[in-house]
Amino acid sequence: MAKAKDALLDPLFNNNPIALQILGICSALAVTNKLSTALTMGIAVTLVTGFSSGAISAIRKHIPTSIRIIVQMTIIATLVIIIDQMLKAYAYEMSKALSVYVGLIITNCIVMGRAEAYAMKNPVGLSFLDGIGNGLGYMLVLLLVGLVRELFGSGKVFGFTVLNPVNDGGWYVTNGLMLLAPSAFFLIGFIIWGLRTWKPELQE
Amino acid sequence: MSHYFTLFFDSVFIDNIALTFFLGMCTFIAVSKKVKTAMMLGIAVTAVSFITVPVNNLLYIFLLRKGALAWAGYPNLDLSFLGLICYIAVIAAIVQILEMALDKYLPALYNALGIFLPLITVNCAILGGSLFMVERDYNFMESTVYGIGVGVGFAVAISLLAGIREKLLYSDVPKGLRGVGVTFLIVGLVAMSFKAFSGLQF
Amino acid sequence: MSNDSTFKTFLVAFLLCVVCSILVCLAALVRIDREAYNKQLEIRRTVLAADGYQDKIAAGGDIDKLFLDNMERKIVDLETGQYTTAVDVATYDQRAALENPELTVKIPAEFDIAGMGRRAKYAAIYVTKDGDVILPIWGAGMWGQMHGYIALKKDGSTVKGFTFYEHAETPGLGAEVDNPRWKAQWPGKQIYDNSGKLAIKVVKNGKYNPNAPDANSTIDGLAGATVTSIHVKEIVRYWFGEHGYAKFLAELKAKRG
Repeated sequence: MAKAKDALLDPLFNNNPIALQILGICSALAVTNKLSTALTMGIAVTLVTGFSSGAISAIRKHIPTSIRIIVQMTIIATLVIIIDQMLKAYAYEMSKALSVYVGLIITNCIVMGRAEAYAMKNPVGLSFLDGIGNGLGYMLVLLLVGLVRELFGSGKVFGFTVLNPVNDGGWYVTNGLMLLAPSAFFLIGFIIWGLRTWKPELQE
Repeated sequence: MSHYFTLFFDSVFIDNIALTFFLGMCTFIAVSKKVKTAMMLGIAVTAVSFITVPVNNLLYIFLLRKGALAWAGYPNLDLSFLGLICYIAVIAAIVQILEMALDKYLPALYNALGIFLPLITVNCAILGGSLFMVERDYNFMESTVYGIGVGVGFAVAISLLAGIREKLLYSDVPKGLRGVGVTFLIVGLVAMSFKAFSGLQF
Repeated sequence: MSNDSTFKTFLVAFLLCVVCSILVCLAALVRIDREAYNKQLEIRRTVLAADGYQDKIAAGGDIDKLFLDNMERKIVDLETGQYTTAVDVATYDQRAALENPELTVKIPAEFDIAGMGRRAKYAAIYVTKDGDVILPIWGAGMWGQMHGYIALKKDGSTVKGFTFYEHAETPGLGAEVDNPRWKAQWPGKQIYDNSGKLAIKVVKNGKYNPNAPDANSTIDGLAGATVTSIHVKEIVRYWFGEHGYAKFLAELKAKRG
């Protein structure tokens, strides 16, 4: 039981994939200028990591080493296509907002990394939890960045106005930088700084 | 001609794949400690994207897009949903072939590139290049130019960052910020300076 | 059996392919089923919004019902300015037509201010019960294509509403083309002046003078998004110029007397 708990919770803070392993930043940051897209992306990655780890772990004893990578790739790509198609079918607006970034989950190093480093050596249940845990760790950072960017960039949280922006006749002068790409780098830099000050053993 | 130049300039500076679209970030951060290795990786990425984007473009035009299979008697078939899996397979295959070819004919370059070549398969900048090519409806010539542009843009960005990080060794950075943390802040500043190119028109 | 034997390798690869392809195809089937509906709904919502129904939609109005009750789809031949049945009225897809050289014409360089290269010969427009028209427009924005609809009163010059449904402008700056407060400037503006010349324009933010003689054809640009404002101006001016809807609107006006 303790092992399952570790597999699930360790990646949230002690071994966060974004802040500490520096994996999967690629497709993540471009979708954080709104919380709703960040949340969708987080859920999509969590599902893909969880199920791909589970599936790969289930057949790990039958995967020939020579085609190991391509087998993992195929499983991951299949899951990503399913998620992509489902978004297009049932969340059309959202799929347009995420554009190519859903497809790019395939090359998200977290998914591949967990498959290779954990799922190939551990039983199905634990691998699944480890995948979900890493996905949640990723989602946590995404939501934090998304919250700050949407709140200060548009004065909103999940689309609900909190700070009434000038453009809508309110008083809050929105911070345009927050909506642009660079702000995400600053925010992640600060998150890493905060985390490493809180847990000094993680410092380089 | 000027159209292709604009496209190239756009993809290198204005729509820089690393600094505007955040693609290829894992390698971008991990392999930018030294200028020399960073440039090496940049060259490898350019080579791979120069080949894969046009190849995927052909694949899309002649097999996947709606109506592409009209010659086979399926005028309404739309296979574009298979795009993702095809593109990544093409990328993996081409990286593999390139690796073998370099090993045989240019062993010096092969040894210099070392581990970077296989890593490129999972570099999202390459897959991203192909996906943007499809999304923006480039034709074959345009996708060739765009492929080079993506690679050169990545190479420019990573070399710049590596140059800054080499100098940074001499600075006294707060403990918690050392290493990755400060790198993120620098990338943010570099990305902001690239914003100055936006809105340029020819 | 050894995992690395050739037979096992092929067996695993084959089984994996079969399972994965079945899953992918199932997902694609679901998507295909829904996608046409989603796209249609998006167009209908935009057309209604351009025509001033956004409050009713926000209040939970049934988009399909509102649309079918109020809008009629027609195809315009932009060359002649007349309605046409050269293509199927219900299924003609203007954006798909751009892929087909037979259904498009090259835009002469001197007209191509919106940077489109080619445009479809036929435009799928919507006509309301009162005879007002909702016209599709598109062209290059700062980062990518912008697609939208503009609604005109039946005099063929007064704007009723204006909205984009697809663009890739910078969030917070150019993307403010979606801001209802900015869009609220459009209704009532005149596309053409009294002598019938193209007059509508978008000026740099803050340069709008409500007392100028041409104020009723002038839109104040977006703050901090000069480039997007210029593109919007060029798109609108292209589509209401000689090469766009000018003929059709002249016909429309003539018919009303």
